Amino acid sequence: MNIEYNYGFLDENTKRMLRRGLLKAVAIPGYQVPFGSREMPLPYGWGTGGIQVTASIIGSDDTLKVIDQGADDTTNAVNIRRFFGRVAEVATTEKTSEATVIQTRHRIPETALKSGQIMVFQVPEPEPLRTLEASEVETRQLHAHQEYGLMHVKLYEDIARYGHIATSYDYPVMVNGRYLTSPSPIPKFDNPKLHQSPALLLFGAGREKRLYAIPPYTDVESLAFDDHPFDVQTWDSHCALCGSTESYLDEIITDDAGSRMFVCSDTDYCATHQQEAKQ
Amino acid sequence: MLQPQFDKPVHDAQCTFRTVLAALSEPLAPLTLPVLPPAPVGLLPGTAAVLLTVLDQEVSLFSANLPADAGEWLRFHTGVRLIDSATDADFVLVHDGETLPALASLKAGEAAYPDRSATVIVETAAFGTDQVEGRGPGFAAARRFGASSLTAEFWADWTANHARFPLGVDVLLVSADAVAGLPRTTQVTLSIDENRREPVEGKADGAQAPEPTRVGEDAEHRPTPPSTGAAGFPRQEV
Repeated sequence: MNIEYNYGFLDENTKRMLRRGLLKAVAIPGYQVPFGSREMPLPYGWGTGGIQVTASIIGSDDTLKVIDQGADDTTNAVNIRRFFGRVAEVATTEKTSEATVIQTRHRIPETALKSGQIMVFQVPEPEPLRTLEASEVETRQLHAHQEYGLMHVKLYEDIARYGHIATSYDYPVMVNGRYLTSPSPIPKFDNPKLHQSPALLLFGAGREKRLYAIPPYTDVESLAFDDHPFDVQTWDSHCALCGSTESYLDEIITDDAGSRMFVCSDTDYCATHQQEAKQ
Repeated sequence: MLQPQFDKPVHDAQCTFRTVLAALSEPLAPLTLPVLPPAPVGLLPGTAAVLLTVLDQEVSLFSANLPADAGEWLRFHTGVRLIDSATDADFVLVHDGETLPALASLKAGEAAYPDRSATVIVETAAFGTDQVEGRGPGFAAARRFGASSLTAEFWADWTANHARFPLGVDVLLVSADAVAGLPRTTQVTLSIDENRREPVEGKADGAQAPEPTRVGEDAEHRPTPPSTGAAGFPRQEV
């Protein structure tokens, strides 16, 4: 049986709803726009929000890159890339510099993004205050009044307990000085890339039915205190494959004896680096 | 006879949307629309393209002087509800030469849902660089802009609209074949002499300032550390 889908999988009404939502999301940076999330051919938690955003923006002249924790070759990334290759007839790539649309789960590529590129983030929990306040009615009010004291208390309690801010991923940011926003569970290592990014950043949360955006060249500030400024992870080691000292490293256990190595989480960056080293 | 719509509705709407999205992401930089549908009398081809892309039966459109044929065309191709009241409309269409409704009278959203606000589509004969200088999200550097259908009154109104952030309306300026975005985050400074005017209410600066007159400067809504004002927990006490 050969089932024909509409271009981009979603029907045109759904795309228009998403598109109108995205326009408002861009106009109100960091604000979560509710939308009618559709059932997708994969479960919630596998990137349904990101896929719906990608489906509503993608066209046949786009080049799509999909990464999962920085890697182009993991199950989720391969399948989403193949999905859009099939339903939207787009070219796909693993090169950050060649992509026009990059859908990502939990990383921002090491290669600097360019103006005109669009990043689509898969977001499990769009509400940064949710672990502190369970009620959506209540968190809406907190955003309406720009009342973010709860989050400052949370970060302060980290300092009181551990001596430093222990949040290492999904580190909350203020977008355009107004909305407290979840950057999705990217490591805080990637937070500085959000600030004044030349690329448009779109976020989709399928289960939570929310869209939000950070337009290009927008101020994004990671929360911090004067005496505990924001900082990112550093490693004593360098990438075992390409030797980079600047990228985000994953620790990999290599045998039962506890040997380990550190390698770049961004596979495209690592491969490019290795090739450059050979020449 | 009813004019047709986009030749390839799915793909033409997609690339038009991408142009509108890019225009709103980097405001006040007109972008050429990739596809122009055959437009009925009373709509510029650019306007027709944008409307076909964003309208359907879930939203309403207000236009003060929409020819009956153009209304029929929109209803047939998009299913949009044409309504008589600008204050309730999701989309407001303003033809070149028409007086813009006061922005404050349009749907501005609620504090908890600022996205439930109007989008104003303003037709213009030509874009220029002679009226304002814009900055804000989407501006790598300040950009100069002008549109022949916009007046000094509009820009004063815009300053008040910007000051209401996160509430407010967003504007798309459309010419025969191009679109420029003006989201509520864009802050403008008037740049021509005759546009110099009294500051709008609530603005302390501006009137006495030497040229170029600075409007829209609003400490409360500019990027500030969350330690100030209503942002909550003061940094120093921690």
